[in-house]
Amino acid sequence: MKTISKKLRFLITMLVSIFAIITIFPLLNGVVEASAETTKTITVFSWEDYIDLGDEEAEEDYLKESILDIFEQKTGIHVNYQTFATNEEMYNEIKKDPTACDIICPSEYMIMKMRDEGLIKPYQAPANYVKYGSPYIKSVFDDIGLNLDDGTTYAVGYMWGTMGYIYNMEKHTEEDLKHWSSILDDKFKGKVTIKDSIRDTYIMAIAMVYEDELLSLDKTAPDYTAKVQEIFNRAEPDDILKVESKLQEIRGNLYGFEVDSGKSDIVTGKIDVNFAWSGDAVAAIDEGDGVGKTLGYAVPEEGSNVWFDGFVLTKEADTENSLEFIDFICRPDIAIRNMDYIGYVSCIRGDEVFDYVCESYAVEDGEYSVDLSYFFDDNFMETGVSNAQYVVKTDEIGRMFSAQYADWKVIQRCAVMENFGNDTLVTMNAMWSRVKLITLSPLAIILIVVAIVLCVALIIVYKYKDKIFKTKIPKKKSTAKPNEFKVISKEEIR
Amino acid sequence: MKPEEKVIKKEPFIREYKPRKLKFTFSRQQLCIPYALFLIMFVIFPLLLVVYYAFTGSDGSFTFNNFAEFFTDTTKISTLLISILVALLVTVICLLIAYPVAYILSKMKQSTAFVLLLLFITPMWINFVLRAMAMKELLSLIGIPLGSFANIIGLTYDFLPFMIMPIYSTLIKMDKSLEEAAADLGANKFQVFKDVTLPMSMPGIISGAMMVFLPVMSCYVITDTFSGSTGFSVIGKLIAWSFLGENGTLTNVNGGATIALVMLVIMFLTMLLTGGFKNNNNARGTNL
Repeated sequence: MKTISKKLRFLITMLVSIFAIITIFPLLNGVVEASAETTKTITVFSWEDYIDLGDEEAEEDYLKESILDIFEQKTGIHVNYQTFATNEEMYNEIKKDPTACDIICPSEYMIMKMRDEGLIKPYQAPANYVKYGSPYIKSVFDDIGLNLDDGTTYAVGYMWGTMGYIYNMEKHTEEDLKHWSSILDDKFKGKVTIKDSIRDTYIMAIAMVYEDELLSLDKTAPDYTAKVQEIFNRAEPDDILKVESKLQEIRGNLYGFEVDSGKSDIVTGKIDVNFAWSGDAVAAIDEGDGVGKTLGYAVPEEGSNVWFDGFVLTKEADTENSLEFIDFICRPDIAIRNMDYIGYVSCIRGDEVFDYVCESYAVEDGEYSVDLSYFFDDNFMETGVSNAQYVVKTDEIGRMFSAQYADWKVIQRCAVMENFGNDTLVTMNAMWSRVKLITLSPLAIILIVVAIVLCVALIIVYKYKDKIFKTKIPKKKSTAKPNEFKVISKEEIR
Repeated sequence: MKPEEKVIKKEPFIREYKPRKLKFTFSRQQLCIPYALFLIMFVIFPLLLVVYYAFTGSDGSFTFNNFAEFFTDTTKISTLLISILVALLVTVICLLIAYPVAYILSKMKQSTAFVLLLLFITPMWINFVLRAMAMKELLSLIGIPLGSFANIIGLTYDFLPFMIMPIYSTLIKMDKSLEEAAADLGANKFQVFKDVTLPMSMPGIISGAMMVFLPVMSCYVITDTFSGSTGFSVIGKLIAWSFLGENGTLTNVNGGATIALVMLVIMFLTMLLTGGFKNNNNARGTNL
């Protein structure tokens, strides 16, 4: 009786403790939330290192301070900055808890996906973005339907760029990388890395598959960009199969797939060509200059992907305070600081930004002139008339400047890759895993399975051989008995 | 008796010890509660979650589809089989390298052996991703291209210490007189090794093999580092893919949980097969 009651008591204490813990955790959470409500707080969910958090060793004082701190001092709103590593990771988090944050900074396709699934809400773009947001970026947003007719928008652009090849200028020229398919050439064998992600690599492969069609397009036609966009977004099962065989072909010529190591590999000279985002190109070229390696950035002639990250508001977001933050981020001086820190290009224009660009790249009597009217001028997107004020004269193109602000000719052939439907994504995923992983033939699979089963069976037989022999003991006894007799008889002889 | 003596007896030099009852005493069961809670919250509950996700579709309804999908996808099955084969290969290579090392170390003077052992074990104190990166640089310096071969080198390099340690500790604890007895009874050196040393060190070999075989199957970070464009990946990669996704892929938590569950079953069977659950006294201290 006593032991039973002890066990019961134990069980009861256990249950009570579990119950206590389960109830206490949410309570604690509530307490924390309640205390936080006294100061205004917004939660920003964004990429790591995607905002200038201040540099302790900076020479100027104002650079030492984190942008988030400046914002808090100015408005009294505390920013809780949380980071994610992939769009998908962020998406899963938001799916689990749509109230987890106010502002998110996903990539373009994820914005479209979240919009289609109703996870984000449209809002009135803040004043600074209306004033300083680049007309080009706004027109791209129009094209992919992020701006609504009633003047609201689903997203406000933060950083943008293109995709292309970073290459070693000492060994190769831009002419060598004129086409996406150039990397299939033998001279690049084992010297190329591409992105370890289906979305980025798909663009490159589809451009190779439809190379002839892309090159035959009339570049002066008004719908040139739209046509490029249509080709880049082809994802019929047939296209996916073509891409798969193309990727298998590319794979043979690669050094490897990478996510982050491409930048350092090209600087150390392990590879000569790296398929990369323009922001990474800027970082790599900068780093290369530091060690005396000349790197360049080229966008192949067929065209490329223009990508951007933008701020969106979740359904339950605190709109007022969030907009305050987005407005602050869209200030040109803040945009410049972020640009300087991350190395990517902000979607914010304005005279301050233009001065910053000129300060970095312009030369009085430069050899080349690059027209940036599309980005900085108000009317260019409608009229197509370039503004001489925004033509930058420079000595160097094909390097950092081109990676940051490409020429209009390059931008014209860049298109946004849209978000594909779930069915297409499933097919694409299967294709990608076939490319990335080794698939054995059914015969080999059967053989290996049989071999493994045999090995396991052998081990089991070996392990339990005593038991197996014991079952046979009755039979053995009959053969053993004569032996015993023999032994005895031998002794008797002795 | 004299009254004086009685007085002395009344005030003893050492006070009698009276066990006082503590106000709070803990029974053994009560002391177990924190551990039980820990196990429930961090082991049993997550495991149940894995099982739950493995048997539900994306809409939360009960289904076997995840398993059907996994076992009909030749790419996934191939990856699983490749993982098992690779893990076996790496285990064998590690064993072939580690056994002589441990054997020689166990025969050495204790102080020398300690220093040498330390040299073999020190890499274990450094983060293994870091070691993999360093090894990658080294391979490119030597001129070995990335790929399956580099993968095997990387995996062997990273898991070697896990094989040396258990074998060394069984060998060092072995009674040397057994070997001497065998030699006295006329066994030559090879026979002593084959019939005495090797069987006696079996528990160490098995626990070392477990510590290499099981983690290799899921150690995708190393294969990611070394595989380049042509090398193989292990099954862990598929799980990571399903959960984390990458730029533009679909994540499939249920599919990932299914693979995790299949792996769990395989690992459980492996443990069962090698007697990992047996209460074997010889293996004491070998499970690091």
